[in-house]
Amino acid sequence: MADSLLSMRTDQIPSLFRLKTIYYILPFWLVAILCLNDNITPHDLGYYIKSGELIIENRAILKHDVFTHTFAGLEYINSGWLSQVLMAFCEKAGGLKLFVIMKTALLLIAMSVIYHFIWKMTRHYKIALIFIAYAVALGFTNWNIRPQLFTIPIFAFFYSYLYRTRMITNSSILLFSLLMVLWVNLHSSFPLGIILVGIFLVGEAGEKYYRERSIKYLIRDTYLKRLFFLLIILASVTLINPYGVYVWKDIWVNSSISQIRSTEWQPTAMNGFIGYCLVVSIVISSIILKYSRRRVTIADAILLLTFLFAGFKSVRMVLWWGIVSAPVLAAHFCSLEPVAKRISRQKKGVISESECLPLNILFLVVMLIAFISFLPWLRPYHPVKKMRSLIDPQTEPVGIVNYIEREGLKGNMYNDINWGSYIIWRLWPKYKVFADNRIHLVPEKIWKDCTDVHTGLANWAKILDKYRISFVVLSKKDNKRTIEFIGGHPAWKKVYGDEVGAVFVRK
Amino acid sequence: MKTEQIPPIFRIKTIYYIIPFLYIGILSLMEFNIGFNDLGTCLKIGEVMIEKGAIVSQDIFTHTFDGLKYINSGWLSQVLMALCEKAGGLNSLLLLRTILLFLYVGILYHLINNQTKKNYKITFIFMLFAFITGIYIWQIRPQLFAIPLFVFFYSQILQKKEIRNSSILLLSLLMILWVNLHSSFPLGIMLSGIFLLGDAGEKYYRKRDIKKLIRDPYLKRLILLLIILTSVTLINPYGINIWKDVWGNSSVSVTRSSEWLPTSMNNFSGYSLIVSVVLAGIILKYSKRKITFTEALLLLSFLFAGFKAVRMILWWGIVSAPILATHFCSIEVVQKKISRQKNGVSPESECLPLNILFLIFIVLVFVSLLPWLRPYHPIKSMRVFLKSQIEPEAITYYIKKQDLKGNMFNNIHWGSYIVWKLWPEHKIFADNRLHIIPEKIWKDYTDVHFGLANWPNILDRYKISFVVLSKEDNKRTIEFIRAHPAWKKVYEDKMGAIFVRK
Repeated sequence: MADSLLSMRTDQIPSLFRLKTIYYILPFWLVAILCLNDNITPHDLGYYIKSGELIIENRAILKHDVFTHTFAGLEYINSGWLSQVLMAFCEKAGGLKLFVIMKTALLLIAMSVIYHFIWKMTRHYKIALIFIAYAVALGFTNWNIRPQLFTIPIFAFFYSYLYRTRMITNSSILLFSLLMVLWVNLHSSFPLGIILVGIFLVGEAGEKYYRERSIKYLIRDTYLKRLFFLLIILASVTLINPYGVYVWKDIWVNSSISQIRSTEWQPTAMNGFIGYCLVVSIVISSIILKYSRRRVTIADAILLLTFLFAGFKSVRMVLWWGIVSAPVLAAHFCSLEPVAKRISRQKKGVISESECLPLNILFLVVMLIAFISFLPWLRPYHPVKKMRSLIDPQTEPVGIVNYIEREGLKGNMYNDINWGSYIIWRLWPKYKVFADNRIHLVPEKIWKDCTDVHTGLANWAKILDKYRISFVVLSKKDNKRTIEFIGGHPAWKKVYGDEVGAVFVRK
Repeated sequence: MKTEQIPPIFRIKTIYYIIPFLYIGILSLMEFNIGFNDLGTCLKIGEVMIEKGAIVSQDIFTHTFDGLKYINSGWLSQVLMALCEKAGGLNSLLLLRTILLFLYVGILYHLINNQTKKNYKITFIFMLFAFITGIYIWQIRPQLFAIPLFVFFYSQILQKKEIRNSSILLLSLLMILWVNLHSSFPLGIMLSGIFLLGDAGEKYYRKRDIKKLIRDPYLKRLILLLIILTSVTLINPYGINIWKDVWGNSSVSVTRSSEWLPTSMNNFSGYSLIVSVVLAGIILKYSKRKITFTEALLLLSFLFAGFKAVRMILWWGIVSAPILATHFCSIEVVQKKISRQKNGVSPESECLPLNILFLIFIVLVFVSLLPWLRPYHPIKSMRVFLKSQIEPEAITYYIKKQDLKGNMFNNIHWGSYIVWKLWPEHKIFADNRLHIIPEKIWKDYTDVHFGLANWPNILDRYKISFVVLSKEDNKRTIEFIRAHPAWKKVYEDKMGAIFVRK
């Protein structure tokens, strides 16, 4: 009896407990677990929530800075206003817990679209799991709660639809246009949608020209005409936003400044997890494409090359490379000779699979328990102590902000720029920050002063005097040298310190 | 004119043969490439060694870690460089570099030419591929000696189907030379290891029999070669400690030196690596030739090395060029074109006067750049070897003329040049031998280099009397020291400035 339970034929096992079911669930479980067990890192979340709150309260888009005392009143293009409103609603409705759920839901939607896409290309659940894991590995470090999160499902939908459907109907043009209107008001990554359509247009035109060698044929081609029409419509509807054409100017300015100031905009190098993942993914792609018996289409080639270069050009772009390359590679993987043989053998039932029912049940139960234990409402009771809070007090200035609030420190603050958003979330409007992670907005002069103090350059004391700073909030990780210098300076004294940072006030 | 009507020397084929050599020759002879990264210290150490007849194993150039013992792994290249300078100054050094690079090009050209079955156009394309990825070959430094050695090792093992005793002897002798010239010698052992693993993998895949593998004579010879090469690395003044130094050097340099940083797409070398990877992918995709285990291992190892450190891209270029050239020849379209050419289906016509004109032009450019003719070069800026925009020529001249006294703080990238011009009268704070600088001194140096708040305390602690700063590297420090009451500027030019205590 025990032996027969340990090795049963697949068809003897109830569908729910089959290995196939586990394979189906695993990609979604993986995404959900990665989202649920992650701590909230308020890189720029605090600012977005407060900005959204203000927009809801005033029923007007916030177009100038209200959070800093250094560039208060500075007008700017608030391109992600809609996501700020959504985030503010989310916080109002359920606080941080709902954020975690929202993040999980958005990423599950995105992964479902990609899973469905890969499934359609491969019709194989194991291969779908492998390539979802591949896309997750390349993207999960970029899954912070921020406006970009809203755009991942939209991008996945655009890509999946354009790749799989060889027909652009009026209804799909309408749907794409509506999604683009949403996208342009959610986050400034909307040009990616237009780039995708452009790539498919060029790829398809190249492919048809290669076959027919006739320009006239290309001009008359209905699909190409529709793609071209879609491109124009999409580019036009991007103007449906509170800033019209200026939203495009903002993208240019934003990206060019961010490339200089922000680490996530720096070129990807093999010095961290994501860098290694990118290089390994290139090796895997090369091997798959080398031995694939499927033809690499021009659109495939342009897609892969464009997003590969984007991935190398900046760390934050690796996410898109993962999403774009996973389905293409999955399709080519299925055409590898040994894989194709194995698939056909499986289909013919030549490979008889036996499974261990208790092990399957155990595995499913463990997955379920892990999932439930990470639900935000149960996190405070999690057996692993570290998991009990949604914001990690080992990295975020929770104790410091509590101290400032409790002691009611007065005057202008200098803060570690990476904590600006958290401080805004917790202390604004009582306190205004020196600067926060909206780094593309910070005027050049203030940016220079901010980084001089941040790194502990010789003029730090003069800068603090110039801005009449009364208290300084520094991080032990980012401002190690400044802490060393301010600690030995006669005009400043430390009033608070914990494992993440310290607060100094003027003597 | 039809090709066969033209004398061989003036044929386009000859131009294709000559161009890689002239390209390297011209670039090598141009002055802006002389680069003083660590040349000055190498020359001076070499001089001291020749004078004393003993290897210098302790610091003599700095006042900060004077007397610190270290493993001087490139002692032989330092001696050779010093001898070269003694024989003919910078002219000889330029000539030495050109000869070493010609050796590298010659061996690589021969290798690629053999791999492509003497197709000169494809050989030319893949020589360019290797040049573009090897942008770091231009500086006169010990590594330069290692490049022809590496290419020779690679060429020998890749082309030979059997390893004779004479090859083992030759490679062992070269390894003894390599270990005393530069600390990149493990690359030679790595190459043999990759060929051993690759060949073993290939044979196992075919026969699925371990016993046959053990009995395989080629594999046995490769193991023997590997053991002998590893053993002969001990023939150096430091014995087994040379390996410890390789480890220590690379692990410290990774944290301190920009050329040891991972490659990213923010400069020419980064772009060239990524473009080369894409090209490699396309060639291998459409190649009809099987990728052997050895090729896969070689490409993967050196690709990862190239991504891991900027200075490794050079080796990726050398290793991948012959492999990719072979695969390129097996692409269907290329194969058809080659066979059409061989069958004489696509007859080539050439313009003789244009060929002659081109040949005369490149030969004239090359000759005009020869070091002895440089003072008479028609372009004025070509008449000098050292560009004042790169090296602090005027600054060192000022220090010498004014005979500034006391301890110096200097921009680290100028350390080697200052040693070359001013040592032993003046000792420096630090130079580009980054891996030997003690941690505390390194921290103090970088604090002043970037203008951190404690710079005056550090300058006081080391009793610095004058400070030599670069406008490019020490912009902020110059700003702070200029405004400081204890320091005054005594010299300034486009390159940098000198400050002394008031």
